[in-house]
Amino acid sequence: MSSLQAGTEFVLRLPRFEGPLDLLLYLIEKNRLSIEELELCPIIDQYLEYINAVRRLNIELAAEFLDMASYLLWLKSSSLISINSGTEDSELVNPVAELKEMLAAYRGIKIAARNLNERQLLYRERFPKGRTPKVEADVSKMDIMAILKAIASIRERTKQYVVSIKRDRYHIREIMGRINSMLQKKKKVSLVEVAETRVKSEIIAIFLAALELSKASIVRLVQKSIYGTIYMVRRSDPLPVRTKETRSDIK
Amino acid sequence: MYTRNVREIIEALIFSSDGALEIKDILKVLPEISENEVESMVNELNKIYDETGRSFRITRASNGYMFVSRDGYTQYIKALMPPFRLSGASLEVLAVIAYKGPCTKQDIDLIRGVDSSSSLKTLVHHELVNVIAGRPLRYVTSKKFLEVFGLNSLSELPDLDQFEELFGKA
Repeated sequence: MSSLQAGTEFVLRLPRFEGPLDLLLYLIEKNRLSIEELELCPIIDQYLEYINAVRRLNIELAAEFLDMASYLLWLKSSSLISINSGTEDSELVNPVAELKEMLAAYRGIKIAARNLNERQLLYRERFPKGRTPKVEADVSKMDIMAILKAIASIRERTKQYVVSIKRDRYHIREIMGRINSMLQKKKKVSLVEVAETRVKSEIIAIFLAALELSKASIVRLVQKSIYGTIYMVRRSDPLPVRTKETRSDIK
Repeated sequence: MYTRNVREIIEALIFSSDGALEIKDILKVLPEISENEVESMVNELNKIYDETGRSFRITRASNGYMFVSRDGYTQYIKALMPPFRLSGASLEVLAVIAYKGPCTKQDIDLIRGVDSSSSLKTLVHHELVNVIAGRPLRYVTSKKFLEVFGLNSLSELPDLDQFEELFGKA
């Protein structure tokens, strides 16, 4: 179960997983577990290990795999927290039982699908009478007008419009740094003060930077009234600007 | 009662039909014949084809009969036309619809835990699945599905619970 072994094996099997449930079923079978007596924690770890291995290889994963990963993380953390499981609340849906039910239902469908595929299929093992494939229209029999028309319609469809886009000169990170250094000198800075120009893109960048700083608990955003000046007030213990990095890690 | 042998009339009816010819349609043409008689005549016809080494036989599907090629000829026919292939995802979607249909795309996505749009599109395109109008749209397997999978009705599919028995309550 070492990470390297698991990683390489998974990658080879990658295209065979139809979805997160398929991957979970594979892991359960690989660990010789049954759905009913499922020990979730090792399965969750292996699932996350797989997701990480795939992402390290820059292979695009369907969003559902990530959805499931975050769901499993939540499941794991909540199972670790609720140690006093003595108080069983039958009103609440047990998420683990729900997941097991989903897995069992999906496994049923997977087997049913395999079973369907094992039948003798028409057009695969047996062929019905008639219905020979349609012969593709022969291009040489087309008259010149039809071809010209086709070209015209392709031209129309693929017409290119020139749109010049000016490169955005403002980096939110840079502006965050600018605000941060201004906040070293005084406790309160208004958004307008930060702007060096009146360019719209800079103002947008400042606004986004302010939101980022607020999210990172570096500043508090204060506005006295609607349409009033927005101030960024330094929090007592400013942290280094790190939000951008953590975000790109997640992405 | 008929100017020709009933057996050969049945053969002609099946021969001239596109897709599976339902037994009730045969009985409409031959009202004096019973369903059992139709069945035994088809068996006789198949016996003749066997004995004379024909490359085809009559098979039952979708509550009717149709001509299909015999096993040994598949490779040659495949050279003429590309064989039909369904992806794993499409087969899963088809299984959900066959067992749980009529059902919505949401039902299918929920069971599979993954988006099924493109598979659904393929299945509808191949006419294996019919769309029931409404909001939301619902999907059911088609007559062609029964023909392709050699079924008379969906009830012939093995029970999902049976799979549990076959493969153990894992």
